[in-house]
Amino acid sequence: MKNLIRFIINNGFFLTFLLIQIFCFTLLFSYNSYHRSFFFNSSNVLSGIIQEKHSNITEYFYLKHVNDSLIAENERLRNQIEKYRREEIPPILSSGFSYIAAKVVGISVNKIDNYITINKGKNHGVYNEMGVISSNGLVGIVISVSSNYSTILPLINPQTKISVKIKKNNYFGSLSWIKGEANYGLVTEIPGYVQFEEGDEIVTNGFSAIFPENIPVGNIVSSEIDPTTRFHKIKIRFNTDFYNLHYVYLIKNKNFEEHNQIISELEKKND
Amino acid sequence: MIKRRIFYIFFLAISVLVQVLIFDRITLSSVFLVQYYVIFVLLLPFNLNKYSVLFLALLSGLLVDIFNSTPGLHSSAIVFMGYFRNFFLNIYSPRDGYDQNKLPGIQSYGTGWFIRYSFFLILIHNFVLFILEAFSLENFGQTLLKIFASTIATIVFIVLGNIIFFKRNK
Repeated sequence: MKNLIRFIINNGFFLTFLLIQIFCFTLLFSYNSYHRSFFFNSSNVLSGIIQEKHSNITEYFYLKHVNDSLIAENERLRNQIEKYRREEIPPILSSGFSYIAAKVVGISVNKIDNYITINKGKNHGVYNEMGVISSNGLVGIVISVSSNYSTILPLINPQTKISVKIKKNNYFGSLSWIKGEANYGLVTEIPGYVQFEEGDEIVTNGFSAIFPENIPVGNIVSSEIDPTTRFHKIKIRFNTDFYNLHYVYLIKNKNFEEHNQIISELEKKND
Repeated sequence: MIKRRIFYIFFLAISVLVQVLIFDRITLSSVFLVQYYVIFVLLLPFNLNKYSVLFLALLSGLLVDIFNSTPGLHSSAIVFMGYFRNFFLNIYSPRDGYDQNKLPGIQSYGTGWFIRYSFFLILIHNFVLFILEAFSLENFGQTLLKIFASTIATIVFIVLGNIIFFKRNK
């Protein structure tokens, strides 16, 4: 006992260091990306307010870029309206999706675990697992919400897995990020016999309640066949430019609860 | 004494804000990642209790983690750095010891001394940070490159910051 006390006194500094490290590692490894503690999250009040103040100042520097992308989006939407008018596109049957616009107040691109913070939260009708898109394409999924801010898990995070399909032939696969290469992703689980070309569009497949069908994700850059599994490994370039992302839209699904209920009932039956 | 405490509170706030609002947002390269906030722990006074160094390091790390949604990552790295701080201060100590009234900055013992003192500390910090971030030996070469490149970039900016911030103190 005496020796133990002497040991603690003599090594107090090292033991304090060890305790702090245990604390840090507990934080680091106990946190699950989908149910994270509220405090250590960029959507908390302290970080939210400071980042929003900062973005209010810096937003003037990229107004031109934002304008350009808005005009491009308007052009695309106008053309789409004309097509509806000429009935080239079949009318959408009550989809149940609606949109909330939000400003990006914080974003990281160069890290491995990248996140985005936006200035809309519970008070604006944001909830967990909402889909997020930009004017060009898919961005990510909401993973944490406070009253006025939320954190998004973007495509450029290794934890993101999204179900996508090749637009022209409807074969679906699973999309993940190529670590360290911002704006590039990898589509796997597409069988080797499927034909496609460089530049083909990859879109969401609409199986989940998070995203509607046919939201653009990216374009095929190159592909190779995995020699062991005979599946394609397709490299794609995201439509969303994460280096220049300032405004996003959150997708609200009126049937979200219903969809989840059916899924969970099915899972119960399978158990 | 009180004046010095107030100074360090502001210094902590500024170094963390500069880190999260400027350096964490520069997206020019994915290899040169400046970890500017370590300047706070580097410039803590010589005679500060070593336990306080650990806890202040933890505090600065937690603040950076909150902004980055990475609980424990920067905290762990900077506490490692705080732990080894005294060791490197002792190694590079002048023959008659440090002048307790000075700060461990460039203006006290020169640029050469400062770079020697901070290089290994920042290297330790970046080593822990990027290894924990990647948490695999996959792409280990890339991680090593990141560690060294970021250490050099960090030192360059900290030396510049040190010259700008503390010129008047002398």
